[in-house]
Amino acid sequence: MIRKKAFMVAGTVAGIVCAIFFASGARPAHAQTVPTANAQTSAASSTDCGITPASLAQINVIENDPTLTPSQEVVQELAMRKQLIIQAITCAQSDIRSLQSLLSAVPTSTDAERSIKSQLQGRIDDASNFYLLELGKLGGAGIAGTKTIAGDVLAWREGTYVPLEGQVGDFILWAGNQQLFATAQERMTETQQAVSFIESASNNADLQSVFNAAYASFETAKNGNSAAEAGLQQSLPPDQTLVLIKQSLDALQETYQQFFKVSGIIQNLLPQ
Amino acid sequence: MKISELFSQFKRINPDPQYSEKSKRMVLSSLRETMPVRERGVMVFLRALETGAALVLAGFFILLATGGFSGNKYLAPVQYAVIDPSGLQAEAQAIDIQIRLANLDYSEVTSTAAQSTTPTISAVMRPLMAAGLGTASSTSGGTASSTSGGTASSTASSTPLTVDQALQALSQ
Repeated sequence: MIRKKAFMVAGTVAGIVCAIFFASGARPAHAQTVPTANAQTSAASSTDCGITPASLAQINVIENDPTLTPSQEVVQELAMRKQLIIQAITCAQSDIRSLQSLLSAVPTSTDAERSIKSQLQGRIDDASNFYLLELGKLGGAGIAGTKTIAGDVLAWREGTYVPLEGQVGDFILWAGNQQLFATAQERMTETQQAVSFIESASNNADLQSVFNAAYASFETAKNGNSAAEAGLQQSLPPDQTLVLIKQSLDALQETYQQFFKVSGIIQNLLPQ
Repeated sequence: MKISELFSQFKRINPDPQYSEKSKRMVLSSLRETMPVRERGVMVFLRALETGAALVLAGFFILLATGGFSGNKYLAPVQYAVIDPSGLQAEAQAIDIQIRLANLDYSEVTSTAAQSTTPTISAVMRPLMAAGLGTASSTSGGTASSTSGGTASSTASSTPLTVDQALQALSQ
């Protein structure tokens, strides 16, 4: 009796499992998973820090003040220069914190994304340490020393920080594209199935041709996307990586133009 | 024979004593066949499972019947999403936004790159010149601003400098 009951229950459960299978298999293949594009905020290499030409002119005023003795002049000018350099570096450190928070907010889902993000985070930490070291040098510096420190920081920013900033911007943009590529891949798979089904019923040259164009441009887009990923991993100059990102997006846009055409053809073929 | 007599004869009907004894034994023996505790537990579990499963299945069919889930749409060979223009439009728009961001970023990056080259140094130096700092030989921009009126000079001197502009001035 128990066995009979067990068979009945097993049958019912199997029915439910089948039902759930169909339900899950029938999830909306395209569930409007359009991601919100990441707002790409360019980190501020040109942030103003409250230093105006007037505040710099104070140095000139000290230099030309006839009431000051030469030693007083040196002491006051040195103090003024140090204060302004500290102000500039503090402002630059604030930029770094903004850059850090922008990067931290980027979601990662693949090993490649995590690796690039971690690499960039490490370089931002290095940048932060560089500023601390330069601030530390200010303590024992004379007027010539402060000029050297300002020149070193400026050169380092141009050679290291500005490219880093650009690379972080590229990564944020590229990471935002990945969901678009995933959605496009899903759509490509569905479209391919639909086209195959229709083609098996009756050959339609237009449909096949448009689908081939969509497929080709999507391959171009994916190649561009992979090249941009490699560019980010190899820390290529930011403008080079950006060109690759742009090319991949242009090709993806072209893919969607072809999807629109495929959709139109299929709608015409289907019974109204 | 009257019916009343017939009924009164029915009262005298008795079962066969042998059969009566046999059926009594059968009834009593069946009562002694009680189920073991373990099997009763299994039965309770199976009943609960069956009831739960039946409820889930019923819910699923109710959803199906009321249109809460339309299987046809997904089981059809030509998937609905392929010919869904609104979905396509939304995805294409998201790509457009990214392209605009990329273009924006590109122009910023190129302008940053250009800033590091000499042609824009004059732009960096101009406000500093107005404030009496920087080298007079760098560009003609300095001469132009130094010859401009006091109003222009005061406006330039109150304009905040970027980190790089400030460092540039402080390195000289």
